[in-house]
Amino acid sequence: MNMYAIGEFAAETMLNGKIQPDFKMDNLGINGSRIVFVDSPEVFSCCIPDELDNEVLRKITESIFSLLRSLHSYKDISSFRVGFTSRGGLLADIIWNNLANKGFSSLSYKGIYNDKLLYDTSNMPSTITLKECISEWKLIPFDIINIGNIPSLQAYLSSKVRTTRTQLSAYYLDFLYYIRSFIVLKQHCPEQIPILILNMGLLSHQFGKTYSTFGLLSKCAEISRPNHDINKVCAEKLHILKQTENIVPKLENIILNNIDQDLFEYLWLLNDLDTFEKQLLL
Amino acid sequence: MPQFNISVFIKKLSECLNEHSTQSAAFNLLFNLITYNTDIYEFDFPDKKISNVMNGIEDIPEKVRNASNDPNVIKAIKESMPKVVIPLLRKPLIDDLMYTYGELIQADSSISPKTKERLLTLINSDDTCETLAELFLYVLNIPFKKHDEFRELYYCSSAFTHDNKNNLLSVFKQQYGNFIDLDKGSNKELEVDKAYKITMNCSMESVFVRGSYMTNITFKYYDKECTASTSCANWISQSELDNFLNAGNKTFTMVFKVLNVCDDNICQVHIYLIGELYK
Repeated sequence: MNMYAIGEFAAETMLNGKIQPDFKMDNLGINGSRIVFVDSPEVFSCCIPDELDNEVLRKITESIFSLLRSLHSYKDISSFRVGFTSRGGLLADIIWNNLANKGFSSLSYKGIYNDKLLYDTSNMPSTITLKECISEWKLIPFDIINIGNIPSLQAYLSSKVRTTRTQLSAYYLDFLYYIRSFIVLKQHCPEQIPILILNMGLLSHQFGKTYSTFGLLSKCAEISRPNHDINKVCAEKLHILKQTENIVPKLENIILNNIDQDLFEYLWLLNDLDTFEKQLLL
Repeated sequence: MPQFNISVFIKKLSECLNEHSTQSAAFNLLFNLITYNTDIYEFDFPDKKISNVMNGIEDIPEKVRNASNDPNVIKAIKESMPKVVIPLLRKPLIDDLMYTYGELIQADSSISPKTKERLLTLINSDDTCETLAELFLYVLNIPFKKHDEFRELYYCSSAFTHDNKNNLLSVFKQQYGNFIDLDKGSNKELEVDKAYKITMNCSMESVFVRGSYMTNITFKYYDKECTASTSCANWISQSELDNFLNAGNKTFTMVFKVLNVCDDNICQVHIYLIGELYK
């Protein structure tokens, strides 16, 4: 089964308030074209976001962790992560980062940093911002967010589904659109990948994710043809970024040492560098 | 108090025998009664088997139990008891032996009142032969009560080796020596390097430590907060583990050794077994 699709499935079931304690590959099946739980007597139901609290957050995190235990490669976990966080929006982002409290991160998985990283979720579940964001997110018609329905970035950015969103939801929606586009372009139009990664880098910049921006622009520069316009734009943006932001050499080196990674693997690493930057530099 | 079973019966009897006073010899003496003057049955008990039965690790074979209900065997036991066993008994200890049997029967809650009354009436009679024969036939028929044994085993440390899931507490004692049963006592202190058994509500959390998926177990014992790390792979059912983790806490019986006790009353332990006991 496609790990990215399982990630989206996990996010969708989570947002629908279904928590499977025994979430593992053996318990997943296909019904038509949809992924389903084949053994679900123990699925716990709750209303998301109304009933979201620390205990529900803990249960969701344990559920995701139980699936991760059944995956055996960094690549599979990264693909799952991208599906989960892109379809799950802010809540999935929080859940994924909460895994760091269990010692699980790209940095610990790859042995780059073995000390425990801390992610503070103590007040998050009860914040109005989070609950409103989840409620808004759940109303999005996700089936139309793809390059087949919205073939150009221009069309997507001006679409009603995009323009009627709050800034936070729009960020996650843009990310979902880019990721879904990436999956299609990688197969059918790989020459478009550099510009897509450039746009992902610019999106990260808008949300203050310095290391994701640096990493994505660097990757774009790496994979685009020299002297091509995109390459030049990347070089220019990178130059500005390095002048305006404090990119610590230690973290810059981690990024550059992993620049050849598959995009999904790379995104996990970049996310962790942004999220845990301060702790990594202690 | 222990169950009044074949092991206890033979142990107490062996203490009153002139010859055959070792448990193994007493075992053979009594089990030979089953085949006394008959060639219908033939049983062979290797020393290991005898030792296991006497230590409560293994029950007697079902075929022996079935044989003990054969009228020919009952007759053989009753006939041979006065000829084989009674002459070996130290006469001054017979009353004490009967008293001990009586106390054990009184204390065994698994014996029905009716059977208790029958056995105690026998014990109080003067017919030692008939009493011993009837008690022997009784203990031959009752399976070992799985007292203080795991009804369900959930986790077993790789440091603990066992052939099957039966009598794990007894097997543990054989491998690591006796443990202190905190469920039965009131020890407030936990000492480093000592093994303990406890039934306690535990918090559970999954963690990822240096490339391994682990489950952390935490429980409070008086002023000590005990923590242990268990490898997820050593949990017998991953699905059950997932459900326990989802619940976040569960009451388990554990056998553990104390690794260290810190000044702040945090106690690190190594858990050998986690499960639920027979009630």
